Amino acid sequence: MNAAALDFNALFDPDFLSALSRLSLSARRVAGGGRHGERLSKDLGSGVEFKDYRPYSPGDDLRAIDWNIYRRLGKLSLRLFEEQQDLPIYLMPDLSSSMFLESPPRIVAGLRATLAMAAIGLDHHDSAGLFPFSDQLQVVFKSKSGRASVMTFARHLAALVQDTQDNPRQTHLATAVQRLSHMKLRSGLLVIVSDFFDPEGLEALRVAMRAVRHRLLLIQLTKKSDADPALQGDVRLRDCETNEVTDLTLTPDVIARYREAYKSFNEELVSLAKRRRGAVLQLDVDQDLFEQLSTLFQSGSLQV
Amino acid sequence: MNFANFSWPWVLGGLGVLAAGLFALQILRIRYREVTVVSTLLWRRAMQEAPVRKFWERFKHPWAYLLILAICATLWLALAEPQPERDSDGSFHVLVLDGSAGMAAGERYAQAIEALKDQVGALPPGQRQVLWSGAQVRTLLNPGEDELLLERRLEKLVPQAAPAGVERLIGELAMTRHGQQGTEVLIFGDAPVRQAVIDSLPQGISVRRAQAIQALERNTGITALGVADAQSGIWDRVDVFLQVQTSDGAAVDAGALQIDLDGQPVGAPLRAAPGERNGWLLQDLPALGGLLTVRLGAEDELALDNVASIRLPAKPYIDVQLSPSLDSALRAVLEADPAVRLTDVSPQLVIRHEGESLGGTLPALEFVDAGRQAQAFLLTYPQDLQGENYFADAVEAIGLTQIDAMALADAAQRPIEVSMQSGDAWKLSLWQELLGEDFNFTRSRAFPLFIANSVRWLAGIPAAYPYVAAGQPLMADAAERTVQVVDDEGRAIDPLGVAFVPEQAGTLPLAAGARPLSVSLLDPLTTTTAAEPTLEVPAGAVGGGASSNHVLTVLLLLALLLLSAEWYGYRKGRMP
Repeated sequence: MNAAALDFNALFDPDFLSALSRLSLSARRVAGGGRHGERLSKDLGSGVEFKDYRPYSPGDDLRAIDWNIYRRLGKLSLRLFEEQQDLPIYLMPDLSSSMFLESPPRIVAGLRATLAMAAIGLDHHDSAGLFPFSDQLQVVFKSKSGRASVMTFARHLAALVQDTQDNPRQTHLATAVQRLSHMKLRSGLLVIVSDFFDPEGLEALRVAMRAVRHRLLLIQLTKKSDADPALQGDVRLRDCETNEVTDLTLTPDVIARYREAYKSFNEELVSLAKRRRGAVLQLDVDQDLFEQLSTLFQSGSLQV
Repeated sequence: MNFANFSWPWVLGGLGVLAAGLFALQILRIRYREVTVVSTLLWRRAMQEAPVRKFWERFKHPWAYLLILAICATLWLALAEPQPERDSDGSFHVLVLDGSAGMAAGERYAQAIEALKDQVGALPPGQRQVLWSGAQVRTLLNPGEDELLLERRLEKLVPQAAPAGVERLIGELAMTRHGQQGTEVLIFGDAPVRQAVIDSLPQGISVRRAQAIQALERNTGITALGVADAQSGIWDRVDVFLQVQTSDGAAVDAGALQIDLDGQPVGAPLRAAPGERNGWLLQDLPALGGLLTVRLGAEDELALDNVASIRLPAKPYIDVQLSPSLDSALRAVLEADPAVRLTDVSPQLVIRHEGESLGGTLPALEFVDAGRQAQAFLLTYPQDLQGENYFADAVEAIGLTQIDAMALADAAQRPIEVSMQSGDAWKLSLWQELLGEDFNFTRSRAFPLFIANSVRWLAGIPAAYPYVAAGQPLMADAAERTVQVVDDEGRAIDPLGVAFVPEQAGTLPLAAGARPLSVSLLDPLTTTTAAEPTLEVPAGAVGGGASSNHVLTVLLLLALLLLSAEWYGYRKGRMP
C-alpha cells in the first residue's frame, strides 16, 4: 500500500472497525468536571462507592450529611463518594512527511491506531478530540462522544490524509504540544501517535510537555529498519522532511553507534512518558495492527 | 617478455602510478549512494559520537583495492602489448619474403607467407623488420609497426618475373647494419644464397632460411636468348642463340619450342649450338627490329620461365656518298664495311672535304684543314638537341677512346682534342692531315673501325641490345647510338653513368620513338632451383612462443573476468 492509494476503504476496513470494541482502555484516575462515565474520577461526589468523610461547609449538599455521626459526635460531616466520570482523550496523530515515506507508510498504522484509541474511548462512553499535527497543530474537534462518532472520526482521518499527502510538512511536535497545552481543555489522556522523529529532538518535546496537564500515552510507530537499518557503503542520507543531507560511510562501527543512538532515543521516550506518568506503546507498522493491539490488550484492559 | 608499445620502465612506472592513483582514489573516494530516510536525526547523533577520522582509516577496503588494482594493471599491460620473448640476446630480425619468379611455382608463395605471419607474431615488433624482395625491395613492416599491417601490405604483392634478389639485399643489409650486433636475416622462400655471400658477411649478421628449399619436381625454362651479327656475314641478318634448361637435367626436345617473329612462325631451322646442352641457333634472321618470341609448349610448375622474347636489331644498309677527293683514301675502307653501300643517289650521309657542297645538310664526315680547326675531332649536333647529353656516348660510339691520341699528338706537334658544338646537322669534322703520311692513322688498326663507327653514328642507327634479361645490366653495342630507357610516361629512367638494369620481365620503353625492348626472365637458378643448401633451417619458428595477439586476448579476458567479479561483488553488497 502506498501513500497515494490511501482512501477511507483502504485505511479502515469493516473487520478492523468491528474488532476495536473488544479492546478496553482504563485510566487510574481522571479529573472531574465532565460528564458521567465508566471510570473513577479523582473528584469525590455523588457516586455510589463510599470514599471518605470531610467536615461540613456552608453550601454543601445537606443530603450528603451523615446524621449518624452527628448523633454520636455532634459534628456535621459529609460522606464522600467516588464519582465515575468520562475520560477525555485527545488524539494527536502525526501527519508529517516521514509518515508517508516508506512502504507501507507509517501513516496507515498511525491512523488506524488513532481510530482504535478513539473507538475504545467512545465505546466506553468517553469523549475524544482530534488534534492532528505536523508543523503545527490542527483542531478538528475538541470533543466527540458516543459510539456513533467512530465513523465521524474515521471520515475525518481519511480526509486528513488526502489533504496532507499532497502537501508534506515537517514535524514540530514540541510546538504542537505547546499549543495544545495552551488550550483550556479538561484534563484527560493525551495520545500522541507518531514516529517521534522530530528534527528538534526529544529534548524540545520534554520541555513542551512541562505545560501539559494530561496523562500521556505515546504510540510510537516503528519499523524493523529503524533498529536495524539495511544500509551499507558510502551513503548520502537525505532527510525527507528537512531535506538535509548527511554523508556517511557505514562501517560496522557506525552501524553499532546508530543502534546505540536508537536505543537511547527509545529510552528517552519512555523516560519522558514515565515522567508524565504515562507510557509508550510501540507498534510495528509492518505487522498487523489489530494483532498487536490484541496482544497488548489481551487482559481486556490497559492500565495507563 | 617484452612490450610492443612501452618499454619496461614505462610499464613498471605505469603500474606504480596506477597503484598510487588507485590508492589515492580509494582513500579519497566518496561515492555516495543517496537514500531518503524518515529522519537523519539518529544518524547525526551516531556520527557525533564517532571519533574524528584519521586519513589512513579511510583505506578500509583492501580487497576492493586489490581487485581494482588487478583490473587496471591488466588493462595497462594489455595496452603495453606484452610480447613473448624468445631471444635473450635482443638480436634484431630481418624477415625477407622472397617475391622472385621462383616463388610463383605451386604453393610456395602462400606457404612462405603463412610461415612469415607466424614468425612476425612471435617476434617483438621493435626487434623485427619485414622486407619483400621481388623485382624491387619493399618494406612490409618497419620496426615497431603492428603486424596487422602486414596482411594489407601483402594484398597486391605477387611473385614477379624477376630473378631472386635476396643475395643483393643481404649485401645491402650487411653494409647498413655493419657494426650493429645481433642481426639475423631470415629468408622466407627459395631464393638462393651462395656460400660466398654468407662468408662475406661481417660478424654479428647471420642468415638463415625459415623453410627448407622445395625443389621443383620437373621444370623446364628458357634460360638464354641472345642475338648477334649473322655468322654468315650478311649485314642485315642476325643469329639468335637459345638455351633451355630443366630442373632435373633432362634433355629437351627442340620440337617442344614454339618460335615466332612478330607473331609469324619462324621458318628457319633450329640448329644445335656446338658445345651447349639444350642450346640451339637460329641463323640469318632478318634484322628489321622484329620481336622474336620463344615459348615452351608443355606446361610445368613454373610458368614465368616458359616464354622469352627479344627485340632483334634493325640493321638497314647505310647509303654513303663519298667525295671524289677522298676516294683514294677511304673507298677501300668503306667497301670493306658490310653495312655501307656507296652510292651517288639519295645517300643518308656524305664524306667530303670542308667547303664541298656535296650532300648539303645531310650528316657528314668532313675533313678540314688543321689550321682552320683547333680540335682534331669536332662533333656537331643539331641545334634543337642538347649536345652534352650525347657527347660521352658519341666519343664511345665513334671509338675515339680507341685511338692512340698520344701518337697523333706527337705527329701533329699539338694536342689532340675532341669537342662538340651545335650546328645545322650531325657532323664529324676531323683534320684532313690525319689522312696524310705524316700520321700513321690510316694504317692503324683503329682506322677502319673509326670510319665504320663514324658512319654508323652519323647514320643514327639505334643501339642494339644482344641480351636483355631481368636483373642483368642493359649492354648496348658500343658502335651505335644509345637510346634512353623511359618509363610509361616517357621520362628517362636511365641512371647516369651506370648501365640500366631491368628489374623484371616485360616491356621496356625507349626514348626517341625507338621500338621498346623485351625483357625476359632468363634465370637458370630460378628455372632449376639450384640453390645451394648453405643456410641453416631452424626446427621451428623463431620466437615460437605465443603470439602477442594471444597474450593480448588473454589479458583482456582476464580484465573482463575481474570486472565481472567486481560487479558481482557490488551487486551482492560485498563491494563498496
